[in-house]
Amino acid sequence: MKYFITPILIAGSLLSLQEATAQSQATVVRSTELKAKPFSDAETVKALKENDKLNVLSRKASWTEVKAQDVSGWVKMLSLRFEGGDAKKTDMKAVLDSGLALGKGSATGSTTTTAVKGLDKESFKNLSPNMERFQKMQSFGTNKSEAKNFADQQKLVEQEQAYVSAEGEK
Amino acid sequence: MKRYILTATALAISLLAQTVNAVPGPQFNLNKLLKTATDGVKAVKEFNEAEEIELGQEVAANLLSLAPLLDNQEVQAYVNRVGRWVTMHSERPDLPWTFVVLDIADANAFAAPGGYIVVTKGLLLRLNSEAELAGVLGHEASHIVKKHHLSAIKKADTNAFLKSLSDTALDVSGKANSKNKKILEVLNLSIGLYGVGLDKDSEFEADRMGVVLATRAGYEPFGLPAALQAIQGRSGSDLNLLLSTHPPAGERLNRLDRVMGSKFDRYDTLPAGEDRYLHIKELLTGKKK
Repeated sequence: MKYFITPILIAGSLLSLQEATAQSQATVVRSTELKAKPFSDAETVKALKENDKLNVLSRKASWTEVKAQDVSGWVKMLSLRFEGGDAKKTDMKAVLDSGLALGKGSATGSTTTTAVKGLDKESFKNLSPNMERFQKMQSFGTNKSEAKNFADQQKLVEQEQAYVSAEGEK
Repeated sequence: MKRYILTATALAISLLAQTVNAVPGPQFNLNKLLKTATDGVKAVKEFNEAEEIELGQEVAANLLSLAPLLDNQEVQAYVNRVGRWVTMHSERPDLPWTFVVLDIADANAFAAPGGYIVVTKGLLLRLNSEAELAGVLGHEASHIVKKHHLSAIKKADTNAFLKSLSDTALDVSGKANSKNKKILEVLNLSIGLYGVGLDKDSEFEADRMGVVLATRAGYEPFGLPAALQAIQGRSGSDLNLLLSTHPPAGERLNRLDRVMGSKFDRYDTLPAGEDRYLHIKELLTGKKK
């Protein structure tokens, strides 16, 4: 397993770079306005075009605070998409992890490395009920009045909102 | 799609649909159900809430063998309070809603029929506010409210579905607390779903409903889309299963974008619970005890 080490280190460092950039950069999906404050009637700082790239700073409900070149401001969060995940970029880390899992398996003479390896389709093939954990889970349960107390303490105010339908989608 | 499924899976699941003891608990009674089952399709239609809960308990008990429970009472209680409050605003507020955090780096969440929801520590670490957690739990709860897993078992395409599960279904001897092979087959089919995922429309529906449930519970509504952006914006093997069992996060965001539009902007002043959530994350990362 020694020869795993070098590719692992390289892969690991590439990956962390990739993650660091991926999580803070967003793309604008339609023309929109960069606002000075997170309100629709706030002053417009800059007009943004589709595919403009922005650095993300923070979020406040429907608004995301971003930096576009040298200008900072707020843009509607639903007009942003993020690059990075979803695609094949995960493969490198998967390879890396399977290397680690293999290493561990051979060292202990066992292949039971579920917790190390992470979950995949195979993880669900040989399960058996764990009654002790299930009973523990049940002990964590909260009743409605406790939940209501929690919400009151946190000043959560219930809202009337109907479900939104998918009708009209193409 | 999904025409010729009914034979094997519907028969298997329908075997469950007989009278059951109405007291939910760890003493599962599927054994009895299967012995007395008769007509398949008819029985599926009669699948009642107690039976749904019973199946969900079995499924949850199996899912819990994936990893140890997170050993932190405060975090477990917190997730249950948020989750219970959110589900109180659903159409099935009186299910035995119960939540648990697994101590595993993989980022994922699983809903089992009847109100049992499992989330991972890895997922909690990727979120940034209680509103995001509420949105994610709202999404999972919606799968249960709409009985998506039961529908999937009834409707799934034989080819794709059974092919992927066949290994599982065949390997059923002596691994659970019951000797009945049929029970194990049904359970394996149910549990196998978590490895292959629900259909896209169920996921999109759960996204739309999850946003609304979090909003009804008093949270700013953009937590779920923000969680999807966090998934979309990051890579890592801890997301592999989640991404392989769900439509692409970008597509889910596009859909939410279209249905939410500016309808939810009026809730911009509702709280996100960022400070409380930060405290929970500190507990998770060991920065606080």
